[in-house]
Amino acid sequence: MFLIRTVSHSAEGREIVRSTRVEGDRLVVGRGADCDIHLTDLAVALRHVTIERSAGRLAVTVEEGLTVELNGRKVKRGAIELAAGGDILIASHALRFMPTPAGSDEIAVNVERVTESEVKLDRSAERIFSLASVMPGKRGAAWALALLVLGIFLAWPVYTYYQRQQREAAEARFHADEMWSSGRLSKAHAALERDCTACHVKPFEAVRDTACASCHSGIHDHANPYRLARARPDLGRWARFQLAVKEKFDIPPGRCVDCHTEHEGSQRMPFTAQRFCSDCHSDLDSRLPDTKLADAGDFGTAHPQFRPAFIAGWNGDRAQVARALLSSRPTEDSGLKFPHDLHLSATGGVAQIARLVPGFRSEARMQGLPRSDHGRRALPAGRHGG
Amino acid sequence: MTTGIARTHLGEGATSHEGFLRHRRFLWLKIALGLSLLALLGYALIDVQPRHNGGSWYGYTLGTIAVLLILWLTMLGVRKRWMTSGRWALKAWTSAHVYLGLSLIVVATLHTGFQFGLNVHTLAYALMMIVILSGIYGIAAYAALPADLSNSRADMTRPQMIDAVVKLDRQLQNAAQPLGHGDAAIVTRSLEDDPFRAGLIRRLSGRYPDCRTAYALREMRRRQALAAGDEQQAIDAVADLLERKGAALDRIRKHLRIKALLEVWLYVHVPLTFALIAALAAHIFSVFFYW
Repeated sequence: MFLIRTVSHSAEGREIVRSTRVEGDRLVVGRGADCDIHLTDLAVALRHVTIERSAGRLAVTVEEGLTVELNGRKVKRGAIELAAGGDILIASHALRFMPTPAGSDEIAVNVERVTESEVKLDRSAERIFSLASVMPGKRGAAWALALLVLGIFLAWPVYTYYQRQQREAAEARFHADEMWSSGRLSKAHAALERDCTACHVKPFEAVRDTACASCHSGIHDHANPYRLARARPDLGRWARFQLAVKEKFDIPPGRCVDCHTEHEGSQRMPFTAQRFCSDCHSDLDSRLPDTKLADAGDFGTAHPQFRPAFIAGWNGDRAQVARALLSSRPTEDSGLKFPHDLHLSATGGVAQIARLVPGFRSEARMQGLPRSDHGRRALPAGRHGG
Repeated sequence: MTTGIARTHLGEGATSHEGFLRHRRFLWLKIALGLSLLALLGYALIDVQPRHNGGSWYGYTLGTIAVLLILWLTMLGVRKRWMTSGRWALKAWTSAHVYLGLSLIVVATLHTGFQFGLNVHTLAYALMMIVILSGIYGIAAYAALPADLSNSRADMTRPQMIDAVVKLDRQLQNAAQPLGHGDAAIVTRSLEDDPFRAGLIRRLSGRYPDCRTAYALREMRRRQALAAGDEQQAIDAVADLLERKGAALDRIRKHLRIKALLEVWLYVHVPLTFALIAALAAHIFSVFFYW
């Protein structure tokens, strides 16, 4: 005979025990209504396990294809010593067989639901309806992204810079500080593309002319610096303010790069605007009365007549060079003739030579002439060296 | 764009119901438009040689305005946690946040001088544009979706929607008692299914191809044809309950979808704002490092 004690708990946690007796030596456990122990968990089969008393033990037989946990082990069949008692766990229900003395006829069994299989939906409704319940936190993502960006785009380039300081020559491979480049270098400087420090020599110091001069060693000063300073027009209020700001940020005035701008894309270096010439040269004689240069306000419309140099005579074996206005129709007694109508014609023989001789063209290109001019105007005087 | 948020306009003295977009008769819209026009005018009239870029004096000016704006706009995240009223009311801040944020499109784009490349500078710009676009989406969502949200509830509160499913689950639990082990397992899978475990994609799309309740219903319908007697009656009852549970789940999922559409942009807007500030820090640092 079995004494079944079904234990449940009230809302306040009080234990409620209902007892029933099952006559005989056999106990059928399952979800079916006809079972001796009726468990309402859907994970329990209609007829799940049979427990039969034989001699001093209980034989446990589980239905085909199912299992129970007997004293903590998953089994298909097994036995419980009556004197020791034992536990059977079926889905969410625990059956506890109490130790029974050998002579006793009655076997006490406690049945209790130990786990709640029902889905609990009593969380805060506001929160579970919100995306916040399934998404990683915004704060964490914000920190992670910010650190990632700082690591790749700030720390790595700075590290690259200091690492490169240790090396002799720049290597032609990717350096992280290239990610800081605001645009490709001009074609003339393409070789320096991967070597930021060729121009940006010291961190936090604006590019100096010495960086340019380290390669462009043949370039002389535009003029005597003192005369150059005197030739500058008086600055307006706005220009003075700009200069003051530049001074605050440690940018010296009149740098090469002020006119010869870089990082404008992989193209020919941008032409210097004629404004940079005409600023001083449009009324140069008002500030430099002793200048030999005539005022020039515009290359096209306000330029004085050219005064080419020519050999006026000889002092022994030294040529005496003089300048004369073209309009005075000077003639040089060198024996050579360069008639303009012949040499500057777009269709004449000289133009054909320019078209056919590769060296001639590339020479013109290197001097920065527009492609359309390569055939026509060969090798004009450079703008430096007034 | 303003309908839905700010359609109430009750005249003077009723400004508390005015939406943040219409706040003080579009004051911040006007300010933002003024700022954008000024920036455009400067760009058109100021002759920067050889061309406009971030490194000219005008470029630096626009860049400084833009970075100050970005930092101030970010402060909304801090500001919204304090309660104040009047001139410094949160609504005023939100209004300014929206319109000044939009004016950044003009100011920052002119700052770039339309020079873009694969570098940290364009990264900062791209992050900023994504943040602004997500914000525009957010405003559109707030304007369009709340009406759907209240329609999708069918006069039920959120706890009631959950409760409906819980009750059906309990009924299913009982109705499924006579079912065989295999059928009971199918029903159990529906009972164990948590509609709130759905991730971002599920919630946004509103599609649940592996819904266990739908699967259980299909299986029960199939079994209905084969079963007989008591078992058929039990399966009929279970199938009926599963169908009702499906409808209750649908209601929750529609609601989840609208909530997700309303909230998802913030998961772009907020984290990318911080990525943007980091990129800005690198952008500004790099300019001075290689001065």
